Amino acid sequence: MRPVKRKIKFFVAIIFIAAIIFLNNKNYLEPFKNKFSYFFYYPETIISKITFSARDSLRLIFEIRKAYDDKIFLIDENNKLRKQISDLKEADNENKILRNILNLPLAKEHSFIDGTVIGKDPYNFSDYLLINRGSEAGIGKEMAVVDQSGFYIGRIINVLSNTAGVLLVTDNRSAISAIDQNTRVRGLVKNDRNIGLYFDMVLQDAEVRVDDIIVSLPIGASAAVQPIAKVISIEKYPNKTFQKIKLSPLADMKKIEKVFILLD
Amino acid sequence: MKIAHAVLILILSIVIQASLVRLFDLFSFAPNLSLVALFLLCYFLSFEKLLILAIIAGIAIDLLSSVSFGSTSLAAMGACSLSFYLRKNVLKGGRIADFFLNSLITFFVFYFLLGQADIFLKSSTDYAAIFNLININLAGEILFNLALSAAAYYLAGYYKSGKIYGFTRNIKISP
Repeated sequence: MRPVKRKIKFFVAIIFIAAIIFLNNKNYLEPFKNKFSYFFYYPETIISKITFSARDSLRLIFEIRKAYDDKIFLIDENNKLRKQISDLKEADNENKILRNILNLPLAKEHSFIDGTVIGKDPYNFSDYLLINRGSEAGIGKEMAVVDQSGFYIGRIINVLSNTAGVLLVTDNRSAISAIDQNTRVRGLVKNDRNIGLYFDMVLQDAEVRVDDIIVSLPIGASAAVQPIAKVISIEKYPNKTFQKIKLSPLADMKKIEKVFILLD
Repeated sequence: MKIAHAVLILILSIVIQASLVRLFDLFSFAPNLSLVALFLLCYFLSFEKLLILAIIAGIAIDLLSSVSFGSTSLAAMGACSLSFYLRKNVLKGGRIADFFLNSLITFFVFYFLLGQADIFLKSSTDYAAIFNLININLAGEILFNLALSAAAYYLAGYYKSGKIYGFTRNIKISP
């Protein structure tokens, strides 16, 4: 085949892709994409189940020793948490009584949909999960997603009829408006060159302490406030505008199998 | 090779990549099976079939990925065409060194084009993708891809001849 013919075919292909992109931007491709996603849905569901069980079995072998150390640590942690739960129950009762006296409505309970992870972005550079719930289940863009412990893990960015895509908080493109639970300092939770999270846009004179919990502010379609990460180190530079605050995500991002989408 | 067979292999590799390789997640990075499959299939297809395959691969990957719709098709088409050109005109020795060089250039060009297309199609303010080119995960992925391609190349050579080739021996697997 002559190179000229190849060039013509190449440009025809580019025009074809440009047409696809144009139609997608105008939302004309949604029915096609929904049908195509059904094609992937069942094989992905089956393969992901096999993967999770194989991965868990393999991890069990490597993590027996670590599990013993964790057990000792967790017994101590559990005792502290029991004390905190007891205190919080007292505070909850007090809160209800005071709200009754002041005629304020009770805090709203969050409703959610559960979903199972059936895949991940084929590219390594992206922290993006595919879940087995979509617009048919009532999911919409920008809804907050939490794990089984209630820790914030990301938000919905793509929705098809039976699947949806969750952009994790650890992705390069993610930036979450958040607040320090103790000192009420506001900032942005961002990815730190794929080695962790950091709390950005916090001025040098703002007070943030190690071990403080950073919670998400109501964003997008979600009005819920969820814990995201814990402060692990703080670096202050007099010649820079913002502090360098490193965070550790509270959710175990590598072990996410079940997710909960907040519908508020 | 028939285009239908190539599409089937590619779709299977994409599903395995998204639901098995990426979910297994024992290391911080993993090979991109779908990209390796696409690159290797290019060796068995004519130019026009290669373009069709790149478009289908792009659409299928973009449905499961967070990159903007159409970016992968553009990047795959550019990278596969470059690979085809290099194989026919520059690196035509058929040695494993030619294969390695072609793989390395193709994978790097693919991610470069993907980053640029993603930025262009989303918005000019999203610079995250360009940093991915110097991302440690991406470097690891390209190395894994090279290893996987080399293994597949070796197996293809073994399949064709019935014996394992040495590194300097010529292996012709082009159509």
